Amino acid sequence: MANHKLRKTPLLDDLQKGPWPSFVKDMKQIAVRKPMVNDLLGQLELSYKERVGHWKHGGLVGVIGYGGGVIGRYSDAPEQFPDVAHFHTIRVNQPSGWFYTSQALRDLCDIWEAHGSGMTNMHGSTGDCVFLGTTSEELEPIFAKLTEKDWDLGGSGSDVRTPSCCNGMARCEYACYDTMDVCYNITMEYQDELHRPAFPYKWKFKFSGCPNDCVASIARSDLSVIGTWRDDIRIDQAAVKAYADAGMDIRADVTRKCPTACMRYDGKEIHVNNKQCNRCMHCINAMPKALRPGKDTGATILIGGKAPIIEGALLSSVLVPFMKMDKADDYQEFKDLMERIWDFWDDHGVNRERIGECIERVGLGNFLEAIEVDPKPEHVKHPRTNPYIFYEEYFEDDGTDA
Amino acid sequence: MKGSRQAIAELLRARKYPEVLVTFGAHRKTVRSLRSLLYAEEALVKWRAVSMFGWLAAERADLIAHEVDRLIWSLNDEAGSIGRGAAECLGEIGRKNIGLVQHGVDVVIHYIEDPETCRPPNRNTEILLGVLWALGRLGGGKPMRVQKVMPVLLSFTEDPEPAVRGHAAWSLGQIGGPEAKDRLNRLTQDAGVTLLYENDELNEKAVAAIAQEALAHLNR
Repeated sequence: MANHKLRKTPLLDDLQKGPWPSFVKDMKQIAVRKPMVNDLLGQLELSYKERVGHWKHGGLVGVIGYGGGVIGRYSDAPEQFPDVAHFHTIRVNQPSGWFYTSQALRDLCDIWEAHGSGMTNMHGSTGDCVFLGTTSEELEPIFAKLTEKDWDLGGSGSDVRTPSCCNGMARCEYACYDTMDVCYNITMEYQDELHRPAFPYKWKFKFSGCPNDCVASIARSDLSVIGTWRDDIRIDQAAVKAYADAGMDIRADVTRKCPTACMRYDGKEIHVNNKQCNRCMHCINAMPKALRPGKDTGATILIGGKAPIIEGALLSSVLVPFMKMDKADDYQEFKDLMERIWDFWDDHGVNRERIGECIERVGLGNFLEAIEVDPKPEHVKHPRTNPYIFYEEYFEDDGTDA
Repeated sequence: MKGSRQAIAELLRARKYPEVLVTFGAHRKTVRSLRSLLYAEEALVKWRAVSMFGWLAAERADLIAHEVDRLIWSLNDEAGSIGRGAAECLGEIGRKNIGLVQHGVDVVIHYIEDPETCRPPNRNTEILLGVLWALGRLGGGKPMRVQKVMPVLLSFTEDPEPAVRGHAAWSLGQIGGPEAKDRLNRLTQDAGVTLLYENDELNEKAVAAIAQEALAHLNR
């Protein structure tokens, strides 16, 4: 039984109807023991009633020595809902690939139960383990307990954000590089920048092991690292036959859906013109037992993705078509590239300008020259169909004067 | 960058501002390290980074002109304490080269006028102390720059936190004016204590001593 009077929430109660899971139901369970969550439900009910949000930014909050990791939230109706007068969010740097031991999860939950609302978001779109709702006074005690258990805060604000990755080689046969190792390595490399902001503005790294891009790095990160291969798709023709024998219409479901028409099925075997393959992954996803990524694997580095804030949303575009993600070399080639990009952005970026916006403003050619990357056909948007791009053979001498 | 940051911190502890540029180069990469030192746990290093920004404003304004917008924005960044040290830097830069921070003065003033950010229960006291200190630096010798915020500044001499009263007293001592003297007189018996950065040093000081020194300075 609750020691406090539970809020009436007739509008929110509607959200508990239907076959899907309900966050209202979860929150009501916690509200019995946590007055903060009880007031949260009350404020949310008011928002549904008035169709107005009741959160405000309020004062800056954080922990000493760190620039990011905490997001201040305050109620604009603290008299009505005193237990959510402060409702700050804490971002905890997640383990690569979101693998936890059950003990680690218990540790996190125990800390949060003692010092916060008890509600978590596993995980936020940034990738972090997100603790939802605490007061300013609890921030330092939470931070002390987290670090005691070897956890650390993630990034927030105008800062390097917590890098995140798919679970790559841990669970997926498509992974073309060790995403979890790279993600951990880069997180440690930029640990200072993550906690003591030194970048001009937000910066997000995301690592996907293959072109399926399960962490949606192309849309959500300034620097997307997407696994790929540069040799040929591996084909097991016996497995192709097995798919056909099992009733798969390989022409209709696979080869004719190839966006570059680089493959054909002759009724017995699949043939791929690998030079034309654009790594859409459809065929491999459709016939995983018959088709696999090549053996010469690495990653494509793309730059400039972001959600709409100042300019519109941008998808990352290709910067380096292929880079070996070399663990033995501590990913030095990637880090060197990153340093050159950072130097350029620091020198030429304007206030609150993401790298994608900066590149659009200065022009890709100038950007490439500054970071010492040679222009390549892959830098061209839709190179196969772009009428403004000409290849050398177009200008081959035909014996007449132009 | 970690190595250079630690080495720069060492130079700042020794107040060797020119040597920072000599050792690490007069370019924005060095300013980048300096920027991150505003979040240093060691308070003296943070404050010396503020002083170094002021030194750069006087000696190499070209290196930090681009930083001012970022500092202004960071005072309104909703995430964490990204704004740590920003007001102090704006104040110090403005003291040395007001042309660099014309817009920044209004932002600092607005910050302290906003009860959401400067009054309990939501305020961040460390940021508030920085803003009070910045107003002192901006208004010192040029009281007109901060004149419009004087009523608010005076009110902080009655704040429950001694650190806030102490910084308000120090700031009033820099800016001056008859109302300032009146308020400072009321604080000459204040037993509260605060850490205060002045003349490039960080020392624990009694609020009463700050008020007395401020009065002596204004009566000189």
